[in-house]
This record gives sequence, C-alpha cells and structure tokens, in this order.
Amino acid sequence: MTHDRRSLRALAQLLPSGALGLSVGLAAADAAATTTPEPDGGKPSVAVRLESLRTDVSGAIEQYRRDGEPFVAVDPEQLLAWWGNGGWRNGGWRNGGWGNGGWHNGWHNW
Amino acid sequence: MTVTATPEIGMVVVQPTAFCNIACTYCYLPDRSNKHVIAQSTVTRLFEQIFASGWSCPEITVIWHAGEPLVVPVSFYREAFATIERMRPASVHVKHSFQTNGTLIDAEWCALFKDWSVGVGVSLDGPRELHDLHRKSRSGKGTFDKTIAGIRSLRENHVDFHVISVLSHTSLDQPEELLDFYLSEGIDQICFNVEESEGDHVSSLFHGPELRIRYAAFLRSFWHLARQSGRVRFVREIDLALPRLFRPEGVPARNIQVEPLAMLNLDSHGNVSSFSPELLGLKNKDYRDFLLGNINFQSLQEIRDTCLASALYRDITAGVQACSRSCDYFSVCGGGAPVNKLFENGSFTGTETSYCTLTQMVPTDLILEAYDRLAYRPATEAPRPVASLSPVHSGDTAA
Repeated sequence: MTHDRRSLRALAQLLPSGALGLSVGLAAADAAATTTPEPDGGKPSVAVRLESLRTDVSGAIEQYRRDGEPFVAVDPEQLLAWWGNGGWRNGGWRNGGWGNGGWHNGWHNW
Repeated sequence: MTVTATPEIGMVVVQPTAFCNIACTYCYLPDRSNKHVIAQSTVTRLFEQIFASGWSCPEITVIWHAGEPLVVPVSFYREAFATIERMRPASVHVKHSFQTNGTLIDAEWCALFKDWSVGVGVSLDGPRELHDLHRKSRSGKGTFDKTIAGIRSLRENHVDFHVISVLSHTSLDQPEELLDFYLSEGIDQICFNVEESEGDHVSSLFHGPELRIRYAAFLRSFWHLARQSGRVRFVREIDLALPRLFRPEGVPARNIQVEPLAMLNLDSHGNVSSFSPELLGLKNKDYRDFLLGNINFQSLQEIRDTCLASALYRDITAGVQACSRSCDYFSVCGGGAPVNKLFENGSFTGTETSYCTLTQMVPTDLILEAYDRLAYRPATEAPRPVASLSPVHSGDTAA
C-alpha cells in the first residue's frame, strides 16, 4: 500500500522536524480525523504497511535529494541524526542520543 | 538474527547493590534485601576490559540500576565516574544514567547529576492515590511524598529527568488525570510500563484479554492530549517507536536484547550476563542462572566465548528466528524481549508475548493508523506545523 504523492508531501514536511515533529503531526491528524479509516479487513498486513512506510520515507528523502524541497530549510545533520551514520541508531535526537539500540528496542526499565 | 563479527557494547547495566530501600508490591527482584555493594575494583576491571576489547560503541550508556542505586553514597559514584573517565579512550563517549525511586534525591545528588551530565529516570506511578497503591516503604507506607520531594529537588537544581510510570488497572482509565498531574509537577518526559509478570511476580493485569484494547485506548488518548498541550517533550512509547517505523528502506533495526554482549549486565559481585538485564540475579538450573562469567576472574573474550557456546544464546536465537518467520512486527522489533518470553511462554524459543503486544504492537498500530489519516486527509489540509514547546511550570495543569 504505497501512498500517493500527497502522503509523500505530508511526510516530507514532517520528517525534518524529527521525532517530536512527527509525533505532534501524527497526533493532530489522528485526533482530527473525520473519516473512519478502512476496516482492518481491507488493509494489507502490518508487515506490508511497514514496508510501504519505509518506501515512503525513502521516497521523501529521494525527493529532497532531487529538488531540495521541502527540506530546503533543514540542516542535513538533523536528518542524519535520525538514522545515524551508516547504521540505525535509536538515539541521536534526544539529549544527544541514548546510545545504540536506545530504550525502545533495548530495554524498558530505565 | 545477524551476529556481528565482534560484539558492539552500547549499554552497560550495573547493579551497584541489589538492596532497595523500599518494597514495591510488584517488584520482581529476588535479592532486594541484600546490602552487598560492588567494589570499586570490580567497576575498574569491567571498564578496563570493555575499553581494551575494542568492542565498545562510540557511545556507551552506563545505567546504574536495581536495587536502588542511590543507597550507595554519592562519593562512590564520584570515584567510579572519575576512574572510568581516566581509562576512557578518546573515541568513546560514556554517558551515565540512574534509574531511581527518587526518595533519596537531594542537593548533593543533584550536584553529581549536573557535574557528570547524568541521565535520571524516576519511578513514579502518578498522583498519590495511584503511586501509593504499589510503591510502598518497607514498613508498608506510601512513598509518594518522598519521591515527589526528590523530583522537586531535581527541578530546583535544573536537572533534566524523565519518569517511568507503571500502569495498573486503575491508571489505564485515567490518561487525562495522569497528564494533569505530570504537568502540575513540571514533568515533561514520560515513559509507561504496564505491570508485568516477571520473576516471582505475577501481574493481575498482564494476561487479561481486554488489556490490548484498554492500553491502546489509554496510549492514544494520552498521546493526543500530551501533544495538544504543547508542554510534553517526550512520550516514550510513541516517540521512540517513530524512528523505528519511519526509516528508509535497507536501514536495519537493532534489538540489543538479543545480541550477545550488546547489553552487558553486571551484578555487585562481578557476575556478568547479557541479553535482558532482568535475567541477572534469577536462578535457573538449565541456563546456569543466566550467568556468563565473572569479570573479576575472566576476560570479556572468555565471557563472550561462553556466551556464544551457551544454551541461553542458542535458545534466544531460535526464538528470534521464530519471530522473524511469524510476526508482522518483526521489522520494527527484531525478536522481542527474552525475559518476557521466558516468563510468559516458559521458553526463550517462543514468539509473541503480552509484552510484545504492549511495547511493539500497540504503538505500531497507533502510528500506522495515524499515518493513514495523515496521508488521506484532504489535499487542502496541510500537516499541522510543529509548535515550539512551552516551558512547563509547576502549578500548571493540562488544558
């Protein structure tokens, strides 16, 4: 379920604001939704939806690489902090990072 | 599971003592009356080994954890931190963190936290009536007043902190009340755990069929309210799931609870374990009490060799592989939490647990649903701009 260009645009606007911006944007969209989402039966599996989301993120990044919009005002370092240098780091964006793995996929008791 | 050619140690969990000064009713730690304290020489030996191994990540987080780390004097940590700093290679950054019940925090502790930029997590279950339900002193009294006094000391001394709140039957119905409380106490970084079954503790909440629905409703409501308030910096359950979901193709998600030595866990006697830190201190004949060696007598290389040859590693790996074959959420989770598999399913080799449901599936579902709504909103409706956060002031309440 790859979203159309509209979703790419929405994503491209939110990604540069980091986890906080995404959290705010998604919460607002969720809270303000006036339409009921498709019933679960009509949706692809969660695994497919997650894969599609990663495709969207790659597309948004590619769009930035191609035309500089709408990430034009964003420090590339801020983007890098999301994904780390050459590998996935769950930190980077919070208080200078919480190390490899971070809490969420690491451990919840601290 | 991919086993890296060499371990990548990113998180070191140290139990300076098993002793805890309080007695929460849901505590799973078996040895919390034992007052033995780790020797400085053991701490020194551990970090000598880590730094000499070349296995440390560029940043290592050292979590001083269970029992209650603040029953050990401030002077102990000042000496230990200075020793680690002297040994630290220039290429490795060490960040210290404490997870504490907060009852002993005072100006002297705050000075340590500030001097060393220590991360502080305080266990606080919400307002008095929720907190005191389970978080009790050894004489059975509620600990709310002392914990709040500690939090106020952190704030007075401008020490950054987050709270971890354990959710119970009662609190799951009170997202708005919880947010009001956090904001009134100047708390703007919030983590939730649902009361779990671990060790000898069996949660009355954890296995109920309605838990997934109730928790999802709680988390969704809290997330919306927190973001609407504009005064919460961090809702862990959502905000740490986001980077795991919104990542480009081809970028792997790690699960350090299933990688050998990615989490290195040390008790006060120098015993070493890896994988889920909760395993340290538990007894188990089949897995040799989950221990991989003792840092006072063995090298990290020997400990790693023991780990790779262990039934513990074999079975955890089998469980991860089973997850990869069967679970839709594997790409964001990476194989679950071994300790929860063991206590919920009776085996490391199994797959889905209630813990998975709450920590991985519910946040993922909420985010996917919100993303669908964002993506399909009318084209004329732009995403809401990200508001700058207002500072949280004591006495404020949520709107």
